Amino acid sequence: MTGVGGTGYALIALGPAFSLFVTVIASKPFLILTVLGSAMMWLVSLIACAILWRAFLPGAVWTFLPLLITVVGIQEAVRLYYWCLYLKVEHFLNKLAAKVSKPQLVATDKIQIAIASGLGHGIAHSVFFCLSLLTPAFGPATYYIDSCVHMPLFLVAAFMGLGFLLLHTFSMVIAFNALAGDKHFHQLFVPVMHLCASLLTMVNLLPGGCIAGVPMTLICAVVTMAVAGKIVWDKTSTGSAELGNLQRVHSSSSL
Amino acid sequence: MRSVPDLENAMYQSLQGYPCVRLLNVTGELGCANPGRTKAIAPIQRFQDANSVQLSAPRTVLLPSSALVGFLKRLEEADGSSSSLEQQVAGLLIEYDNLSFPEVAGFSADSIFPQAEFAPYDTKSYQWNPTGSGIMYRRLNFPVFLLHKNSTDDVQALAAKNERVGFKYPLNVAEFNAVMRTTKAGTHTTESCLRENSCLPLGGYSVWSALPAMNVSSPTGKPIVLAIASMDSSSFFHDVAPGADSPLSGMLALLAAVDALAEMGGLETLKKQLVFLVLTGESFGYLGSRQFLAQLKSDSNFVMGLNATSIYQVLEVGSVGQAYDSTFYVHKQASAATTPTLQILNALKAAAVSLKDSTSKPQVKPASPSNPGIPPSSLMSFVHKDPTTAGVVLEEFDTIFKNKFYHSQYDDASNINVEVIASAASLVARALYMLASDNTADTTILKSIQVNVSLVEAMVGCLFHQEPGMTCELVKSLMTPSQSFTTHYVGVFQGEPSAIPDPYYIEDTSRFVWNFLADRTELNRKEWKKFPAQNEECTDACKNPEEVCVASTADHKGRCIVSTTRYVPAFSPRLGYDESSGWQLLPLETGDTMGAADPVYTESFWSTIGLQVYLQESSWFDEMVLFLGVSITAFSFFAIICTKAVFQKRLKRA
Repeated sequence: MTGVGGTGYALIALGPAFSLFVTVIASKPFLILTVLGSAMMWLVSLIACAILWRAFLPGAVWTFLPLLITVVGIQEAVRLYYWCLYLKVEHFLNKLAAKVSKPQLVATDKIQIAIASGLGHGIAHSVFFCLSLLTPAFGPATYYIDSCVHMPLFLVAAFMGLGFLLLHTFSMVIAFNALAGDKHFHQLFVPVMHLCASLLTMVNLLPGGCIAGVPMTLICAVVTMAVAGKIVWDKTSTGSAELGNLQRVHSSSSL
Repeated sequence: MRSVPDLENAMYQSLQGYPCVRLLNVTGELGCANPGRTKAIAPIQRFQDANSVQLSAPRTVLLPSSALVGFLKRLEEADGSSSSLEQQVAGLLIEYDNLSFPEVAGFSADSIFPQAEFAPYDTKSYQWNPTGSGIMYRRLNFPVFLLHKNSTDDVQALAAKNERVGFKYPLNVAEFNAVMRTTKAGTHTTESCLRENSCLPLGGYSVWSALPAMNVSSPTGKPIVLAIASMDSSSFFHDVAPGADSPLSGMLALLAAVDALAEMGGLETLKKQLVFLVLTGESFGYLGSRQFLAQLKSDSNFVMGLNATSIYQVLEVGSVGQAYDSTFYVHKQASAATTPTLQILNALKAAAVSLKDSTSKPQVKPASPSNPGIPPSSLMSFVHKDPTTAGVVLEEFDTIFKNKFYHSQYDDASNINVEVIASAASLVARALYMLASDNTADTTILKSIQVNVSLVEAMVGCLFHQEPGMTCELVKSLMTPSQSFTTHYVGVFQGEPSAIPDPYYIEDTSRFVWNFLADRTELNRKEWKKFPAQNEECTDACKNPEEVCVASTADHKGRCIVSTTRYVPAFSPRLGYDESSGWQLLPLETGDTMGAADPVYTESFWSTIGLQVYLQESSWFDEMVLFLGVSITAFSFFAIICTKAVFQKRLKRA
C-alpha cells in the first residue's frame, strides 16, 4: 500500500512504544539495557515454545487452543523467573549504591524498571508478530484474508500489535507490584488477562470475526493500563510517610 | 501460507503475455509503450466489444481479441473530440482466444497493400490483403499485452470482481511495465535514437548457399539461378509472429527442395549454377533483399563467388501453404526480360507435368494480367535494381492473398497444409533442376527428384508448435537452439555486421537454415556420408579456410566440410556501422527509390517488460492510515508527558 500506508501501519503498531522509549527509557542507560534484556528473555521463552510445538505444527485449527494455553503458561513462568532475576539485580544494585553512598532504588525507579521490562516484552512481540508481516505493506498492493473482508490484513496486524504491546508493558508493572507486595489478586490478574487476550484472538478465525476480535484485544490492553494506573496512583497517593516506609523497607532489604 | 514471502507471492500475481513494443522510424514512432518513465497502474475493466467501451476514470481495458481492431479504430476516429477516451486508457489487455471468429473473416495487422511504398509500380491502392487493418503501424501511447490462455481466465475473474463491487476501492489493478529507453532519452526518430544509443536497428542474418558447392575464389562463370524464400514475419505482438503461411511455407518448400536436389548427382555438369537465398527482415522494408543487393554491388566478402551480372534468373517461393486447389500462380513483372522469364514458367510447367501421376497433381498457372504487378515480395528489390530482371514469384494466390491471417498471431500451423507445401517443394525442386539444365532435362530424371514429406512435417513441428518446438530432433542434430519456442519476428541486429558472425548474435531460425543448407549442399555429400570419420571435428572454425563447421551443438562437435554456405547481414542499406560511433543513418543517395521509401525501423531498448496484477487501496485510505498512525503516536506522546507531570507533582507534594 505504498510507503505512506506502510509507515502508517508501523506507527499504529509501534508509535506508543516509540513515545514511551523516547520519554521514559532513553535518558537512562540502565533502562535501555533492561529493555534489551527483557526482550531477549521473551525471545528465549518463544524459542522454548517453538521447540516444544515444532513437531505438532502446522496443525488443525483446534490445536490453537492447547498451543495458546501452553505458550501463555511458558511465558508466565518465564515472567516469574525474570522476577527472581530482577530481585537479585535489585539486591546487587542496592549493595553497590550503599558502597558508593548513592541513594537506593526508590519506588519510581522500580516502576520505571517494570515499564522497561514490559516494553522489552512488548517490542519483541511486535517485531516478531507484527513488523515482519508489515513489510509487504510498503509495496503498492494490499491484502485481505477471506475471514476478514472489513480490514486489510496489515491493519489487523497493526492493531493487534498495538494491543499486545500495551498489554505486555503494563502487565509487567502490575506483576512487579504484585510479586513485591505479595498481592494475590494482582498476581493472578496478569496471567489470567494474558490468557484471556490470547484466547480472544481466536475470535478472528471466525468469518468476519476481526470486527469483534481486534476491539477486544484493545479493550484488554486498556483494562490492563487502567489497573496499572490505579496501582501507581495508589502507590503515590499516600503521604510522605508511605514513601518513607518504602525507603526504610528498601534499606532493610538491601542488607 | 507459511511465511512472509508466501504472503508477498499471494499478493502479487505475475501475468503471462506478449507485449507490443515501441518501434521508431525516420519520421516518428509506432507500436506501444508506457507513456512515461513510470509503471502504468489502473483497475481492470472488461468490455464485450469495441463500441461498449465507456471509461469514467483511468482503466486497464480488457477486451476480446475480436475487438482490438475496432477499439483502435475508435481511438483513431475520436482523436480530438473525445480523445479523452484515449487518455483514460492506462493499458490494454487482449484475451487469448481459440480463433473463434464467426463474424470476422480474417485478421491481419498489416495494411491492405503491405509495404506498398516499395512496389515497383504506381497502383499503390491495390488490395492484395483485404483483411488488412494496418494496426501494426499505429502509434499508441499506452502499453498493450496479448494474454496467455491461463492468464486470461485469471484476469477475467479479477475484472468480474471489480464489477461486483461497483468499482469501489480496494480494486484489482494491472501494473504494466513497458517503459522504453527511447521515451526516457527523449529520442523519437530513428536518427536521434541511434545517435543516443537508445535503440537498435531491425535486422538479422540471411543465408545463401550454392548447390553444388562453388569455388568462390575462382568462379566458373556459369549463369546463376537464384531461388529465394524468406524466414521472417510480423504481427502486432512481435513475440507471436509465426508466419506459417506467409512467408515460411515458401521457406519450407525451398528447404525440402534443396534436400531433394542434394540427392541428385551430376549437378556440376549442368549448364547453370543453383544458388539458394533465405532472407530475413523482409517484413520491415525488405532489409534482407536490399542489403544482399547492396553487398553484391560493393562486391563484399559476404557474397564472394557471386556477382550481380551472373544472376540470370530468380525464382521466389512465396506463400504456398494454402493452395488447397493444388494450383500455384506464377507472378511476374511486365518489364521482365521475356525469354529467360518464359523459361522459368516453362520449367515450372514441365515440373507440374512430371507430377501429374502424384497424389497432389499440382498445377501451374500464370497470374492474372489484371494484377498491377508482382505481389509484395523480395523480388521487388531486384526489380527496382533492374526492371528487366528475369524473375517470378510462385504463390498460392492469384489476384488477392489467400491467407486471411497475413502478419498476425493466427498465421500458425493450423493455417497451412503439409501435403500442399510438399507438393510445392516438388514443383520447385524439379523446376530448379530443369532451369539448371537449361530446360533440357527429360521427365525420367525429373521424376527421380523426390521430396521427403516427413521432412516438411518435421520442420512444421519444429518451427510452429510448442511441442517439440526448436528442441525437435531435426534441429537438435544440427544446432543447439537458444529457446524452444521461437517467434519469426526479425528482431534487432545484434553485434556488428561480420562475415563470420558470433553464433550468439544470430537468431535460431537463421542458424538452423544455415546448418541445414550447409549440411545438404556439402561437396561430395554421398561419399562423405559413407566415411563420416574422415571429417575433421570442430566447434566453430575450420583450419582449412575453404571449409565451414557444420552441426556443432552443445552435445557433439561439428564437422568441417566443403560447402558454399554463408551468412549475409540483413539491415537497412540506409544505415552504416562504425566501430567507434556504432550505427548511423547515411545520407540518401540519388536514384535510390527504395531507400527513399524506407522507414528505417529501429526498436527501442528497455530494461524489463512485465505485467502483474494485485489488489490496491485508494490513496485516500493510505493517507487515513498514516494519519491514524501519526495521531496515535502523537497522542501517546502527550499522554505520557501529562502522566509524568501528574505523577511528579504528586511525588513533590508528598
